[in-house]
Amino acid sequence: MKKKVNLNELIWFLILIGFTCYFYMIISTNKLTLFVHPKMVKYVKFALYFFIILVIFQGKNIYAIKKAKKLKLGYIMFLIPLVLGILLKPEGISIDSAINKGFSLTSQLKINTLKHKHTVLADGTEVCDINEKDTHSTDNASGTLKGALESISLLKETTINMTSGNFINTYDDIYGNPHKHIGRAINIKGFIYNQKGLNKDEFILSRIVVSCCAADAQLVGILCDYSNEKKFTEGTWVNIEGTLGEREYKDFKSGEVSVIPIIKINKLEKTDKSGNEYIYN
Amino acid sequence: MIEENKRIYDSEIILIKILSIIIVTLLGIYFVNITSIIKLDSRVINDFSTIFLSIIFEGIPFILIGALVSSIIQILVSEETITKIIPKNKFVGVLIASLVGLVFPVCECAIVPITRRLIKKGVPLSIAITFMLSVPIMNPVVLLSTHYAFMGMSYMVIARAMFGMIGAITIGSLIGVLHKDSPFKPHVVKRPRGTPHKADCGCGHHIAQKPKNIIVKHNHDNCSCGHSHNHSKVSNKFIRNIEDIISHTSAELYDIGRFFIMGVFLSTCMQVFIPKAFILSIGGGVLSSIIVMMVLAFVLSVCSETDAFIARGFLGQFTSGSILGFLILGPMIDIKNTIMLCGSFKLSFVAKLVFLIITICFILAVIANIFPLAMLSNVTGGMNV
Repeated sequence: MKKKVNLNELIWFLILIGFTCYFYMIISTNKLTLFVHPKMVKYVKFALYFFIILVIFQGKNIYAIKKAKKLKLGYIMFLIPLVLGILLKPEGISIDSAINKGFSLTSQLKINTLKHKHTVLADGTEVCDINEKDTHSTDNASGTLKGALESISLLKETTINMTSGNFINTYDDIYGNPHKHIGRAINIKGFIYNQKGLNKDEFILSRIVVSCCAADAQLVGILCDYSNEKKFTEGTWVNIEGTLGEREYKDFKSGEVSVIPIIKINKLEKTDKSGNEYIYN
Repeated sequence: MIEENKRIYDSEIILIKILSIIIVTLLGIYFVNITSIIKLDSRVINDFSTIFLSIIFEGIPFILIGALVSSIIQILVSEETITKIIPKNKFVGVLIASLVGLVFPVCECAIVPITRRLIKKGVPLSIAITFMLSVPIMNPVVLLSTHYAFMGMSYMVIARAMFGMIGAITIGSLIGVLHKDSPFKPHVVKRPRGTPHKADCGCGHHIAQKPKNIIVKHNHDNCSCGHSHNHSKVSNKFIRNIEDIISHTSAELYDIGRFFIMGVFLSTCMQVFIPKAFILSIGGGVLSSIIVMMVLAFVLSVCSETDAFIARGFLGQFTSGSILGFLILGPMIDIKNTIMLCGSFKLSFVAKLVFLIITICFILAVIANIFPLAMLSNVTGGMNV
C-alpha cells in the first residue's frame, strides 16, 4: 500500500469546494434573498464557513493510504444542486407558480373574524392592534418601533402608500376594517391576476409573500375595479392609484357572501418588475 | 468477503436504480420538450430550480448542525455515559425525551442524523423515536413562530405543543413494542462487541485487530461511512478530537446529504407538477379536510419553523383540527425525512413508523376537531391575568 490519490476523497473534496464557491457566489451577489427569507441568510453564511472548514480538513484526506475502491455514486446527488445552481440564472419564483398554489379573496377576512372571536382582551384600538402585528414581522426592537410609527402615520394620513415594507400590515388592516377605510386614496404596485368568478372589469392586484423560502411563496392581493377599454394580461406589473371601497363578494365555490375591500382605480400605469419583488413576512 | 462487499454496495445499487429513474424521467421531459408534445417552457425549469435550491439553502445549514452534533456525540459521549443517563423506567424516559426539545432546539432536518447516532449508541428505540418526533415541535423557536403566525389564537400554540407531545409519546412507545429487532440495515450495525475502542464509529468494520500501540491503525476498506479513519498521529487529545469530529461530520454530511437532496428533489417534483388546487379539490369536509392538510404537510416538506405561516393561510378554508393535523404531522414526517430515514433504516421499520405517525396524527386531528380548542385560550388567559 503506497500513497496515491484516493479518487473518492478527491471527488468529495471537489464537491465541497463546489458548494463553498456556490454559496459564496450566491451570498456575495445578494441573490440569496431570491431563494430564502432575509432572516435565513445568517444560517446560510454559517453553512458557508462550515464548508470552508470541511474543505480544509478534506484536503488532507486526498492522499489517504487506501486500496483501490469502487467509486461512490452518492456523489451524483450532490452534483444536482451544483449543476442547477451554476447553470441557471436565479430569477425567483414565477407568478404562475404562486397562482398555482391558490388564493381566496375571503380567507384573510375569515382569519380576522376568527382572531376577533377568540381574543381575550378585546381592546379594539387600532394602534394596539398594529403594534401587536408588527412585533412578529420584525425581529429587532428598533425595527418594531419604526414599523409601528410608520403604520400609525399611515392611519392618520389620508393617502395610503403601500410599499414592500408595510404591505403585510396595511393589508391586514384594510381587511380587518374594510368599512373604516372607505374613501381613502391608495397607491400600490403589484401584478395583475385574473381570478375565475370576477366581474369583467375586475382583477386582483397581487404580490408574492415569502415567509421562509421560495417554496412557501404565497399570493396575496386586493380586488380592483378598472373600467377601461384597455385590458392587461395576467402577470403585468402595474402601479395604481385609486380609492378604497367595499363590495359584497360571493365565493364562487362555497357560495358564501361576505364584504371585502375593493379599490376603484383612477390611474393605472404599466411598470417593470425591478429585481426582487417578494414581500417578506 | 464477497458476501460482505455485496451487502455494502446494496445501498449504492438502490441509488443507481433511483438515479436511473430520474435520468430517464429527465430525458423523457427533454424529449417531450423538443418534440413539443407538451409545451414545457423555461419557466417550469426556473420554478423547479428555484424551489429546489431554496429548500436546499434552507436545509443544508441544519443538516450541517445535525451532522456536527451527531459527530460530537460520537466522539465525546461514550456508550457507558448514555446508559447511565437514560432513566430505567421506560415511561419516564419517553416523557423526558419528549421535553428535550425545549432546551435543545433543532428542526426536523437536523434531527435525523442525531437520532440515528443515538440509536447506534444504544438509546432504546422508543426513547429515540419519541425524541426525534417531539423535538421539532416542542421547541421554543417553533412554538414562538406558531405564536406569531396565529396571533390572537394562542390556543393553537398550546394545542400544537400538547397534541404533538402526546403524539410523539404514543408513537414512540408503540414503535418500541412493535419493532423489537435492530432498525438498521444489516451492514450499518454490524459491530464487533469484542474490542471497544475510541474509534468505534458504529460503521461496523472494526474487525478485531489487536491495537499494537496508541495509534490504532485499522483498515477501513469496506467502510460505509465514507471517510478514512487514518487516525492522526497528533498526540494532543483535544486537537485529535476536533479532527475526528470534523472528519465524521464530513462523512455524515455525505451519508445524510445525498438522501436529503433526493428527498428535496422528489418534494419539488410534487410541488411543481401537481397543482395545489388538485390536492385541495379532495374536499373540505370534516374528515377529508384532515386528509388534505396531512397530504399537504407530507408533500410540501417545509421546515417546522415556518410551517405555521403556511397553515395560517388555510385557516379560513379548513377546520382547526385539520390545521392542527398539518402542524403536528409536518414536523414529524415528510418526503425528505422519509427518504433520509430510508437511507439508514430498514424499509420495514420506516414503513411501520410512517404508518404509525400518519394514523396517530389523524386520530389526534379528529379529536382536535371535537375537542373545544378555544377553551385552551381561556386557560392561558387566566394564567396571564
